[in-house]
Amino acid sequence: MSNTSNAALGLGQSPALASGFQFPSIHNFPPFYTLQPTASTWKNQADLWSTIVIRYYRHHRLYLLDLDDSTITNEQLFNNLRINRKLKPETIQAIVDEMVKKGDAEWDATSKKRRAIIYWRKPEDWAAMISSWVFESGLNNSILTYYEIAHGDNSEDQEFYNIHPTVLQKSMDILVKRGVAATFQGANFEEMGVKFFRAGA
Amino acid sequence: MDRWDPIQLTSTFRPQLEPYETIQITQDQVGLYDGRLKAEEYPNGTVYLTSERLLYIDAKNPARKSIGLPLRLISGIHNYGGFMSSSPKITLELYTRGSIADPQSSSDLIASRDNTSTGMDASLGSLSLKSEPSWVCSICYHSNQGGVMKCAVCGVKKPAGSDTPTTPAADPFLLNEHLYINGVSSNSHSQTSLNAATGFVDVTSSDPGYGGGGGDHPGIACPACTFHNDPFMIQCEICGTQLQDAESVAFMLHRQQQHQRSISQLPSTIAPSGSTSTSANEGSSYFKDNSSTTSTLGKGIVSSISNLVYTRNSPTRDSSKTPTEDTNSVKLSFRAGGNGHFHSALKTAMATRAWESKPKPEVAKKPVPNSADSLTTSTLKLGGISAVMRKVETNRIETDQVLSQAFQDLQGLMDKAAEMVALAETISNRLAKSNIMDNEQTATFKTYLLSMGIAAPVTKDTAGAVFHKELARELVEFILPIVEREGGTMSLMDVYCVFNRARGVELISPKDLHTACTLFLDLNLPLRLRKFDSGLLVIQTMARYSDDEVSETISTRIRRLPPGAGLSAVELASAIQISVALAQEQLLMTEARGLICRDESVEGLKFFDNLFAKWEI
Repeated sequence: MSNTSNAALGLGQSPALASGFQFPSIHNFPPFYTLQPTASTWKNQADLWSTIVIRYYRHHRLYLLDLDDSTITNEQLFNNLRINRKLKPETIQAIVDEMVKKGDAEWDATSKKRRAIIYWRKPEDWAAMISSWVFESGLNNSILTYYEIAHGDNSEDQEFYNIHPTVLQKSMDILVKRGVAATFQGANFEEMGVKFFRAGA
Repeated sequence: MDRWDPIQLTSTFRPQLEPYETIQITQDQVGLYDGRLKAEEYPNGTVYLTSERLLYIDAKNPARKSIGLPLRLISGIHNYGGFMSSSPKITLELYTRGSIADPQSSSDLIASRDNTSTGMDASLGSLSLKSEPSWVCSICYHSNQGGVMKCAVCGVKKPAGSDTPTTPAADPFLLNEHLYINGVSSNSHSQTSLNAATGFVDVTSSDPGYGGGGGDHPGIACPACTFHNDPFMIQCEICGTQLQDAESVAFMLHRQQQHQRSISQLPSTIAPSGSTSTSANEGSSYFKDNSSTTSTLGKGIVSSISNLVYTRNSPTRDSSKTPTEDTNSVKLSFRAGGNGHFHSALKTAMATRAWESKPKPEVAKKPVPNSADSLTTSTLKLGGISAVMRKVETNRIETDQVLSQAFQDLQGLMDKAAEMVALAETISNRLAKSNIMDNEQTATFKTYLLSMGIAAPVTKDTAGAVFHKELARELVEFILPIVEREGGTMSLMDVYCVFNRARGVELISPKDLHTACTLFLDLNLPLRLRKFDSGLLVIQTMARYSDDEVSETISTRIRRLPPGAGLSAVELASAIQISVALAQEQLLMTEARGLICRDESVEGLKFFDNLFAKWEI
């Protein structure tokens, strides 16, 4: 991942994870795990972290970052066993705060900044992706459930397969606002229905 | 004013002292008067009294308007306490120009003079050339050579107060008066002899219109033991003999008679005066001062002195003042007080006469050996290495003696301070010359020697009201090279330790140091006191070591570390020889500039190069 100028900075490259993900070598930089008190330095650091978090989440198709879930904080993303450094939950929170400011993440309103959705794609992108998929597969003018979109047999090869319900809802809201689709109330979230009217958005 | 010379100042506008010269007292807000008129050029400044000079350093323009007056030119001191809006003043009477009042110049003549003159048989003509001041033993009245410290006949010490030779040509009082009388600089009087005394009397009584001069007498000589007591003593400090006794009363009466007689002889310039009683005390003490010498010289000199004393103190003095007299006195006006201490310090300095005890250059002492002497010395003389060895051995023994004397007690150490510093300098010079400097121990020893070295520390006693200003100046002079060696910044704690170690016994309190440091800005000195955000106080040089430079040095140092290694404050402190607190501050300052970043872990706080700024994602 690191290009030549980064390699010149002299940090060792970690081996790729089992999932095939490769951290950039800045991930082995000890100060990367300390919240920098200098504003300009911290901005650079937070930018680097958000890039790595988004890459990691996209690679592993993850959506939710929960600070109360110890598996998240102990994950290799935030815990570098090689240099024995680990991000503190407060620092992760600060990083997510920065990501929220840029629109790369959103706090779950009820969680008091403990849970966040990481937008490795923007809701607008998801909306466009879903609607184009619907029209391409000729599913417009019929009602689809949310379950069919996220977990249906037809969408299995799509990037939004297993999409997080909150992200899906956000994307649908965007489509409804544009007048591309209409939602129908169901018994539960997965039985919510959506009908697409015409192509394009 | 033309008697004053420009003086050398240090970088901090303190006077540059001669070797063995020490500052006795300092007073600010002093104005100078030339004679009776204000010296417009020198309205307000700081006056330093050293053991040899009186120095005026102007408050506004110290570089150009700083002048000094050698104490040896001063013949007398008057203290005026001030009244209403007039400030207290000290008047300094100066020797007339051209008079042989300069012991330095007269001592140069020693070589050209033989020591055969006993005074009694010396002719007037030959004596006019022989200007070396001699002195008369107070016990046996043997006339001794000026350079001799003990009487050649009976071995009694030269009296301290009357260090001035009794030779008319060199006695400050007599000479001055004499010159006023004649209006010319003539030395046509025999020294320490009856002839001289009587000759003097003749001159005096023939024209007693003298009105200036005058001065501070060193004290009352005890009639029993000849010890010179303070003029206000009633009993002798040494033997307890009555000083203000019947004799002085008798003397007073006698002097009054003399006065009546002299009045009848006088020209009309001297008005009869009724103030004899007020001047009686001074007159009698003056008399006693010289009594040991004069008592055997006959009544003539007694009467002459009493005449002089009287005329000097009589109201006729003002009327007989001449313009030349004005230029021969200087007034110091103490606008902020402090004249009392200054007066007593000045008196002490005048009595000590440090300029006379100063070691003279080797050349002046070298005698011309006669043939017999050169013969004996040549037979004793050792050549080659053995002579060198013996010289070295002698030097070593002398050094040992100085050291053991100096460390016997604190007072001794203070007295020897100048010598110790000189010794330290010679040792460090010798070390610098020798080639075996790579020895670490030698290097350490040398740093110890370098950090010794304030010969005459500024104290509250000597500096008084200007103590903190003087302290700040002294501190800058002393600490500037050290701060620069330390990289431009030193914590106040380190400064305190180093400075006090150099001062030796005259230790200062942390508060004094802090106050002195806060004055750096006002005094326009090249150092600044700085308070870091953490509360750490440091002093640093002004321009050369800016924050930019420090942070650049530190970030370069960190960049040179192997990849993945950080730098802690402790490591930095030991690497560049500064205190940990200071190293920490410098790192934080560098961090705040975004050049480095931190890593907080169980291992502590370490700093790394700021890769975040350079990383291309």
